[in-house]
Amino acid sequence: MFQYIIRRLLLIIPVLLGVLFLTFVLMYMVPGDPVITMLGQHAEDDIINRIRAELHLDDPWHIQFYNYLTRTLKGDLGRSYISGVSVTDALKQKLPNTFRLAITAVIVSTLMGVFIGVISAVYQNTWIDHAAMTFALLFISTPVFWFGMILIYFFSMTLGWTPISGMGDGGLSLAHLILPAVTLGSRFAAFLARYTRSVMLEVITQDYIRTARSKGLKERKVILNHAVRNVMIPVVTVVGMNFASLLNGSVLTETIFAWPGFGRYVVTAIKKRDFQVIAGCVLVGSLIFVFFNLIVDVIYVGLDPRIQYD
Amino acid sequence: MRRVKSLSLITILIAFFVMFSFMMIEKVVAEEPQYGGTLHLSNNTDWDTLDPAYCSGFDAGAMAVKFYDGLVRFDYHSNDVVPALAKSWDVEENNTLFTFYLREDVEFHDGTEFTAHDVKYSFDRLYNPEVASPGTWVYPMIKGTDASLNNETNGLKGVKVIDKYTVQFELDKPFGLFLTHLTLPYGLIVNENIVEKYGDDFRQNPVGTGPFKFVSWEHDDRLVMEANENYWDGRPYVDEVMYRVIPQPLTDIAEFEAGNLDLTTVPTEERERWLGNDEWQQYIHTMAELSTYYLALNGDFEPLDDPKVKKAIDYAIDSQMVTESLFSHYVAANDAIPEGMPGGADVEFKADIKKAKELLAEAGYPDGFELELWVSDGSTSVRVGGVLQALLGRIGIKVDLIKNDWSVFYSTVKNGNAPSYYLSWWADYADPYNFLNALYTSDRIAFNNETINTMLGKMAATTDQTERIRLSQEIIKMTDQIGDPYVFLYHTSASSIKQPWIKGEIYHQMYNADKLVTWWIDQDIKAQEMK
Repeated sequence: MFQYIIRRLLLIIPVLLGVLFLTFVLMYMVPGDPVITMLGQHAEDDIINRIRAELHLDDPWHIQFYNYLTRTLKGDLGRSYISGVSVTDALKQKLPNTFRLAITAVIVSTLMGVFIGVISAVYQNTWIDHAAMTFALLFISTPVFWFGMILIYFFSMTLGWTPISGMGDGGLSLAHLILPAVTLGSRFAAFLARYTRSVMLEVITQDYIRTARSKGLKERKVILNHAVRNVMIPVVTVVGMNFASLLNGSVLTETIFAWPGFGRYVVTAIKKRDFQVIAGCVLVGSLIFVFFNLIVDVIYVGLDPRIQYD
Repeated sequence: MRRVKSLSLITILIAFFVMFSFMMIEKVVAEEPQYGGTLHLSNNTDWDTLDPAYCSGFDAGAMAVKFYDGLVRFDYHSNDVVPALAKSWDVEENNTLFTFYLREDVEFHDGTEFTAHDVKYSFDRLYNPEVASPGTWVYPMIKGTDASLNNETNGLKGVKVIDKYTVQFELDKPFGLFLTHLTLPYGLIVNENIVEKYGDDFRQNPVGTGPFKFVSWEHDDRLVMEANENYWDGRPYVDEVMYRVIPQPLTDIAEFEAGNLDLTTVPTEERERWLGNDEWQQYIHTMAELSTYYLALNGDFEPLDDPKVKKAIDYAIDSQMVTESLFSHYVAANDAIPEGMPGGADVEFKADIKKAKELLAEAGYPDGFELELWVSDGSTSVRVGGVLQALLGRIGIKVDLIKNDWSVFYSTVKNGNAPSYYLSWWADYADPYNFLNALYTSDRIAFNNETINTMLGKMAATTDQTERIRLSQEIIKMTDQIGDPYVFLYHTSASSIKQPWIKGEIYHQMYNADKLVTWWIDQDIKAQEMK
């Protein structure tokens, strides 16, 4: 197991090098110019050329890539072309904010999704199942943007239970966290409910479940100890993969709730063609994906002793 | 009997007058500005920088003036240029020599004394090639800017320190708007030691002479500043200002409704709700913005090089109808100059399909032609593009609407590769020259008219406002006659809404005029309302 983890960790190196290269090539090919974007309508050719030279944007691409690579390997992700802020410093500020949001969203959505999925499967084709799946369909189809605004309207504006937006005055504020977390997690919860239901329906028709029942075990014990545990393997995979997606794809939620996170940071950078920021974010985003894949694989072993990594 | 009646009437009048006077006095007393409190404001994006040398955007410029001062500034009550760090100045040698006499009681926020060397350093820095400032377009008329940018000299030859509190600017040629250009954020004064102390982080650690001192900045979240107690023009009324970054307008207005923001802009989607609300109407202020939205026709692409085709397109687009149907609260444009700014020529609105078709037929395109129209991917641009597509379709021009994000859109437009495009110009300062020079000397469209260039040159050189307005009107009439490469569509306005407790001179047309020193909070009203 230990060797396996070391091997996987070492494999991260070529993956990240590939990601760096692809990101760089793509950014080089994508139309648009950070200097023109920065200068707006006062972009005159001589000013553009001068700033491009200062930022080394007029160097040949392989030299730019080499410089970027050597700097990144030293742990320096550079500075934003637009704001001059160090990408590493910005990520240090924004990643924890998005982590906080994504973790809460995943906890809320996993608890809700798995619970509803299991109940739906156990009570298959009853009104409970129909109601749960109708709600799941509704939440999957609901635009995040609209859902967030509705939550603000009810819980903040009408009931006054939660703040409208922002993170509060520092520290961990659950009151500020709850609405964005529910908004971010709602579609995933609905998807997980449907997914868990289908996996659960497959599991409860398996022989070992029939055997457990024939041994006279209580239905509750059969479901919780035998069925749900086996359901958890594919569910953990989905949750693991989606956690990384939530980290990278939280831009709408962060926009609605004025949450200063990673999603908004990277989307703003893409709009402004702020290559240093984009490259740094893609690198860190990829790292998160790779780590979560590894964590999911390790969790498998705990869930299913039959799985062994040599 | 009649006398008694007259006396009673006089007594009643006197009593009424006394009561009225007391009421007025009470009102005046109540309107006496109060010190203290925190102002809660918002912005829809984070600020790119707070270093004046890099303030290319309106947001950054508007924020930088809170921390820094220039030699001059825009007046808080008008768009006039008034003294700031320079208490007075002389203009000699036909607008080519400006001598500024500086205030002697000014300190930077860290206690460093402000002197003429800071002025020289700030302008030298702007033209230091290593700084790579995007603001070098603002003061190219100062002697020695090219030499400095080409690393031939160290500093600007045209900026001289005469003594500790006197600085002189020498220009290559007369430039009547030099003082106005000094109001721009690139002309804000920084201190060499402070810039060097912070190095690369100076962009996010503003230390100037302005009315507010920097406290903290959590990017994409909040920026906090406190009143500069020693501000040379008197400390601001409020103790602290907290700006929050709220990108979504509906979230922003919800925060305002909850009393968490003191002032905000009414989002377009919410206009009816707020402007139709009797209770709030008195707290809403609608102001014309100095902007012009237009359709540009690039003469490098056939048949847009034909003046008749340009005129046909102008006749086919009814700007009043476009404005009325899409933005009923905006003003339809008939020329480049925004409503309320001098220099407009009242050119007639054109809306005549028949004439448009005739002109197109005369130009040899009776069945129209195909035209690429470039727009950015913002929802407003796409909507306007759709309407223009429909209107031009009526005279047979088949418009291919090409949508792209701003970076791709503007790079294409900038490089002259867009046959036609929908864009806007926003004033750097309230003068027609700023609009006409930007539009008619642009390299984005193939338009180069000697007479207009000469008139623009005269506009730049003169300090005579009446002459500049006359020239502006002449240019507008002339472009209209020869086939304007622009079809002007509309000028925008914005409605701001404030809480009842916010008082003072809070509305400014120029983005960089507001230093927040005229705002104050009526604590009594606030306490009452928050209850």
